[in-house]
Amino acid sequence: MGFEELLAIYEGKLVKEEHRNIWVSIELKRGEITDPSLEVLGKARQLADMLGTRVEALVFSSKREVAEKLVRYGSDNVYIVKTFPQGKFNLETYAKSLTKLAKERKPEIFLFPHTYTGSAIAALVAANLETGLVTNCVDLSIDTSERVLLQTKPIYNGKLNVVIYTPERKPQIATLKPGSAAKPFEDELRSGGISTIEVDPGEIKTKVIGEEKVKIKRDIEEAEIVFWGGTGLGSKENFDVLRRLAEKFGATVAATREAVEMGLAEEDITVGLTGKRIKPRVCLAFGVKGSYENLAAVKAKHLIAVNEDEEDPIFKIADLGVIGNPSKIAELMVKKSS
Amino acid sequence: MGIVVCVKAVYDPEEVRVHKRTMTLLIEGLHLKLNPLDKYAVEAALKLKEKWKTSVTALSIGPEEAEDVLRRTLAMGVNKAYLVTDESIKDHDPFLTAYLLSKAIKKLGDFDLVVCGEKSIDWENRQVGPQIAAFLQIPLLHRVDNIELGNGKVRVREVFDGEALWVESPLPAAITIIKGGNKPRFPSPWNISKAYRKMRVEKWGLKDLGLSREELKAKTVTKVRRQFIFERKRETKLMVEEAEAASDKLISHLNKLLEEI
Repeated sequence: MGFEELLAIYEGKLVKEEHRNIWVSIELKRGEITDPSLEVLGKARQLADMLGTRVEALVFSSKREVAEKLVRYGSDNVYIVKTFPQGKFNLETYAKSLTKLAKERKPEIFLFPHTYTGSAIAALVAANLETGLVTNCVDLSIDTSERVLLQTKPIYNGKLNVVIYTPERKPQIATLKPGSAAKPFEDELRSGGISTIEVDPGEIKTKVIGEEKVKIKRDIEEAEIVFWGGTGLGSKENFDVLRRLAEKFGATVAATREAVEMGLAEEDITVGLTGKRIKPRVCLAFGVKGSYENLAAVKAKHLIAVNEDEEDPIFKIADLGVIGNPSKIAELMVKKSS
Repeated sequence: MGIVVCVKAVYDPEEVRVHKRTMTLLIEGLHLKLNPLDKYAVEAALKLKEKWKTSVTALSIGPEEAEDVLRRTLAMGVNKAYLVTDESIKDHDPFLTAYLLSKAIKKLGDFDLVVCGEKSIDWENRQVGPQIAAFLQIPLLHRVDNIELGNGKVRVREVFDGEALWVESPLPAAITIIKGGNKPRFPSPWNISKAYRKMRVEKWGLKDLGLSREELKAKTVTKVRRQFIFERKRETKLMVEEAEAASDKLISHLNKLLEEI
């Protein structure tokens, strides 16, 4: 930086860094702020304190209580965004509105929760603003010497982590993987500004013409979430409880070879060395002992096991093991999740 | 009516190993594969081709060896295949990838739909599909498992967490496809042999896209600073609780896991 430039900054004629503040895009589910959004807010708070800047939350909602809650969770400012056409969620409207706002108000960092919608909106906004985006981050920190956001993400199934940054463009945009930051505490005494801003997103070409609930039925081999029942469930009735539980969580039901032979379930959902192989993201095993026959066919990212005998081999490989009666626990879970 | 389907050649994360000292990927001896989720995109495009008598063009960007992956799409039934490949494209930058693909799509000429897989299994960015839509300035239809065409419009079902939206859009539009719609077809040995013997994969370098190295540099917006391994040993957390408390904890633990995508 030359002397003249420094002087200009000193005299207030030149603002060197015009991009300021950390923005957080907040998602709502049935009117409530989602946990992944609050986690992003907590992370933004930490980063803002390092940068000496402010956290501003943006939410597409007209409810004031939501905005007040966002202040208590760490926002210095909350913008309630009103856009047109109002009403149902539309990806295009949200992305165009946020693009326009970011163009006008120039945040330094713009963070989103890494959800299906959050990652898509972030991608559209980043492309429109011609700036860098790093998705699915598990950590965000600041390189204070260069004032850049360091964004860490796992690649190749977590075999390697990469730290990426956006050297020149602003805002630096990232999506944060749910569960990778702590949900902040609610501070009843925190105060902040709340304002409503209206944005005209321009021409919207897509139109939401209908809504429906979907039950995605997938083959066991392709399922992301599998509830796996074994002989520990004891009876056909208990296996049906597992089915009902699976329905509530959108999971696919599988059975061990032993359970099928006991007559608890049908042949076609057998998972094992002599059955189907699965590689779900989440596998919840109820009453599965974990013999070699069983485990050789399962490659789950997260394996949870519920069984009575602490000595069962499944507890050696599970991430979380619960010692208890599997059918009783399944039944309680059905009751509680309805 | 034309459909462009974008695919990626990837190394299987299950096969890749990491060199512990250099923190680099060991890919020697491994083959590039067609990204599994892109197979669903190819299948969706082929289904539309059969119904609407249109042509499907496969497009990819990557090293020369990615040609094999495009041959596989030809064997599946794609009409033409193009590979953007240039020595100067080295860095990993999804923004640049999306930009170059959008340039290539413009060069291909008139199209009605651009179809992409939801994400690639190596970097899992979920970024290129949406950004192609943005660079082409066409609507994005995201996480689609159902496509209907007619009257110059497209209607799709977008699936988000157990809820689905039916969305209507004018053409042209970009679509990202999720697993769960149509099952990707296996090419017959005869088609595989035809794809290798009789069909061509056209290769485009930077010049063919009308781009200079400077422009390439200007469209590279992110940089990798370092790579590291985060060793996570699998350790079982055992919980001995009353059924009542255990079920509560299991539900909240499950809900947390389900929020990840």
